[in-house]
Amino acid sequence: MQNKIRILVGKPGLDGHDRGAKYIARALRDAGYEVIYSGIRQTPEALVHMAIQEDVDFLGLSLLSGAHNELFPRVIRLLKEKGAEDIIVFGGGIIPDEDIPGLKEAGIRAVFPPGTAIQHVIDFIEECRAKG
Amino acid sequence: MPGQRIIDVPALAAGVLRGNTRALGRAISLVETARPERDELLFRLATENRATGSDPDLVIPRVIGITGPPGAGKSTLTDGIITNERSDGRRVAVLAVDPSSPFSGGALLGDRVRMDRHSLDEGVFIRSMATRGHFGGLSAASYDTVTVLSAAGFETIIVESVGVGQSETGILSLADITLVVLNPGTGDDIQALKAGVMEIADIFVLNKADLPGIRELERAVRNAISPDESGAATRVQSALVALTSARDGTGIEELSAAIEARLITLERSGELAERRRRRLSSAAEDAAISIVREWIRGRAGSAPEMLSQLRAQLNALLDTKEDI
Repeated sequence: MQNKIRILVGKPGLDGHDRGAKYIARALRDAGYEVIYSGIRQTPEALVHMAIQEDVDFLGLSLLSGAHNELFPRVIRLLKEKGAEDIIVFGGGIIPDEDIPGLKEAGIRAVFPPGTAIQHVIDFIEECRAKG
Repeated sequence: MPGQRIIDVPALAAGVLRGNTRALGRAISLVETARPERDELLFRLATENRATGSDPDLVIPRVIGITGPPGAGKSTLTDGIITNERSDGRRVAVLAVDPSSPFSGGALLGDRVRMDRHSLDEGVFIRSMATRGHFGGLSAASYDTVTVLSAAGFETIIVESVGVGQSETGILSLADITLVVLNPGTGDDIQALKAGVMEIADIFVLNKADLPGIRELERAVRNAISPDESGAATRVQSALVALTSARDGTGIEELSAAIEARLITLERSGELAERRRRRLSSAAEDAAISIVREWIRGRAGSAPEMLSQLRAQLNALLDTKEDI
């Protein structure tokens, strides 16, 4: 039996725009991954709790409200507190280019802005899998 | 990454027995695989659980199965039942099963979206699981997952099947009590008389009771479960009927009372113990089938290897679960 990659697609913060998150969730499903969708308006605490219960390999955060500089690093911090820093976190949504270096420094492994080809996300996941 | 992880099984088992969430999450991932550590984990959970707790302290959870067609409201009802079980002071685990794609093998697991008001409650553990090609409405790892959750001391375990059609009755061999969720406007009284899913209910939950057609549905279901002239009552003929509107919580308390009443009846008649015994033999059968299926698909090596794996699996099951 193959070990399946499990991914939580999470919507932190207060924006209710989840077309992007649902699109990614479906595309990752079609790529053969097991995708859990969190639903909208989750706190970083709730997302970390879910990620641990679901034992996911990846946590993808989708945010369009502009609060990414606050909420993304908070997710990373909480994962560390819970001893779950091996969960790989990536982000997407309306994220200005100039914010990306800071997010990566905080521990977000990749940021996918609007217009990203889905294959790009899959390649990222597969690279992480190959590295172990 | 799964697969590359080195697993310290004794530590993992100890974590599960302490109810540590991280350990629980990992243990369930492990029982979804065919790794040899899986059997070791199940063995440890059973033996150490027995060694550390004297029998009266051993928590035997109530396993509540929920099944019904897609969109019937199973997850929303689960959410309501969680609330009631929590207010009765029980720790609750949920196993929510959704289908894997027959094309990509991927899955979109979306049941927990309906339960997200419990997402910060430390007394609630929710796990989504894909069927990974298993038939019958559950995943192959469902039995073992219930074993892991029992070891972690949850008093209530709710197992939500995939959205089923007419014949997926796998929940029957896992749950202490089975809820079949139906909606108005989905068929006439002939549908209610058919074999399969309609026969496995301990409680028929007629959800979306605010919609037109609820009286017709209730009549059809009550008709289907009324005893025949001989007076002989089959399983379904002693089923209860509950009307709910899970969206606004109408009828959920009455449903919980019905679950309570039904469990007491089942316990007194000895049926509950019988069902738990059957759960064991189903688990053994399931383990055997999945090993043989993997072998047929050419993933699991030679026939002797397959047979030794089969033997190890059945040994682990029979050793670990005989007391349940």
